Amino acid sequence: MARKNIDGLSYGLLLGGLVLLLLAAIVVVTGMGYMKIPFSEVIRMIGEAAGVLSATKVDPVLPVVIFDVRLPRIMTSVMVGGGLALSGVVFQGILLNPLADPYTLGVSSGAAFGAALALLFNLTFWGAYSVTLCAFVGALITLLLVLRLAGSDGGGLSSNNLILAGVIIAAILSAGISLIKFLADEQVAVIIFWLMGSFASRTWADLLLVAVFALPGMGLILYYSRELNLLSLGERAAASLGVDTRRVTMILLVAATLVAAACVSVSGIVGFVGLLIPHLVRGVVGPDNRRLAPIAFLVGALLLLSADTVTRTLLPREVPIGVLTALIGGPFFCYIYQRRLKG
Amino acid sequence: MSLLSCKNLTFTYRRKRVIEALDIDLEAGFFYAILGPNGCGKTTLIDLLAGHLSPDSGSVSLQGRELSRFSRRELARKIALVPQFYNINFPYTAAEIVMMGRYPHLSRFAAIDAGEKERVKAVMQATDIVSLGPRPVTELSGGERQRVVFARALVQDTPILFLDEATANLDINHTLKLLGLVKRNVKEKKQTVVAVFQDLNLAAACCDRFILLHQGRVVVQGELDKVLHPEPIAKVFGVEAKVYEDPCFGRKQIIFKHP
Repeated sequence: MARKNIDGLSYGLLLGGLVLLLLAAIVVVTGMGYMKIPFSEVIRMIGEAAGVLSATKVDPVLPVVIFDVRLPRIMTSVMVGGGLALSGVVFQGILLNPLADPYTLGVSSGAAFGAALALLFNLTFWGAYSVTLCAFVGALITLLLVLRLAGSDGGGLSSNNLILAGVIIAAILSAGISLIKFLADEQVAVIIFWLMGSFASRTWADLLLVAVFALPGMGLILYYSRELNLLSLGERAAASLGVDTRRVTMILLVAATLVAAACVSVSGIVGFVGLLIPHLVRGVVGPDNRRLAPIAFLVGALLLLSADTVTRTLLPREVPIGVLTALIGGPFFCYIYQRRLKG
Repeated sequence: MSLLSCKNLTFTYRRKRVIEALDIDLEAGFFYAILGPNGCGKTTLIDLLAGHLSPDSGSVSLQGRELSRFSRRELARKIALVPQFYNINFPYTAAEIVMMGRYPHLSRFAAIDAGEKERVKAVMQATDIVSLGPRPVTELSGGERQRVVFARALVQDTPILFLDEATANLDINHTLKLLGLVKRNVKEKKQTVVAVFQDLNLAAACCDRFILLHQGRVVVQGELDKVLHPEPIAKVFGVEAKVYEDPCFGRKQIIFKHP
């Protein structure tokens, strides 16, 4: 069956529509929660904070709820959703596998190990951000180990080597996490809760950590999108079409891993977003990464924002976000997989 | 001066000598065949000559300049490759894949102008894949996909073209059509083509010069009569061969018998 690429105009409309939808969703969702705030009020408060609207006298609780509690959490979930989807786009392209995800190289296990260590030893030398930063450092060390192991043959970091190295390192780290849980006595509940993921009481600093990697990461991926397209045809094809494969693979892999590491560090392990979103969006806009990356980012952001809103406001008790995405994403993934098998 | 040459080329993979002390000179405007049994180093030789692998010792030079001193992009404007394996996991359309052959000539964010589109269309017509254009390559048959990748290499418009068993999955019509196209480029544009063949008769029908490899070394190289001769064929492939002039088309053909 022929595939008709969506043309430039439809693509522009899709992109613009998603941006508007995301902005609208942020406003709507900010009004939702234990304390209901009318949308007009939310818009007015944001307008005032941005200096667009002149200040009026309001209930002093409102700014605290909106700016200190809800918006940091909401914006963090938006950025993490977008970041994970973006990272998934890169991993699927480089590993030549439409079903790879940001955690394929074991970043999530590394982050979890770092966080578990921090929780076990009650590390507090970085204040409230100790766990987040330990998770981030854990993810980075994992990346270095995986690259070192996968590159031992001196070749061009083949996708098989990378996946295998990721699986090996992740398995060792999982055993390490189990050991920490075993040793952790009363701390074990905190560790398990962290691993299941949550956006509860996230701050502007959390958002900043993710944004610092996710936004430049988007720029880098758009800059190298042509190379990424060629790399997704295989290393030999990419090389013969002029791509310095080892260098570009390294740059994109490190960038995507940094984005994923920042996401995991602030949110815990949120599965299926990085796997499903790029896959689904590719079905609509086609495999060209220059088009794929921005749309995947927006859809991922919208999806995780919705999931977090469900658990924050609609469910009687807050279910960990990682559990929720896996519960929804898992069966959906089964469905996609089955469709693939049927052709 | 030769266009592409290698001196004392040696390559080892996992402690096994794959290519040993090879000297080859390729001149512009000829159609070369690389022949030899499975595992004799044909694909490795192509990868070394195209700069995808770097030799352990010895050197490859293109127009007198060491290959390692070219950037990948510069090389992609000089050398195109139709590989033996060409699995594509993502649903790019055939037309998109062919267009990628122009990337080495276009700057990163350049819009694709009408001239470029025209050039791609002409090659797609010549290779008989216009009807495949809007279809995802993941849904094409092996032979169709091979024609798409072949077209991509032609669109790259390079002075040197490597074919690594590039017609292995094609029907006889498309095999002859594509090789005929390549042969015309050799004659008219002075393109240099280096092709790995399993089918000695197909090589005999297309090529001007022949390089026979065995265990990583050149056994014999030169013109047809010298290389496609019962003696080296027996030595390399271990089969009896007889070379005769085919009475219908007046070409040298070889028949084989397993001893």
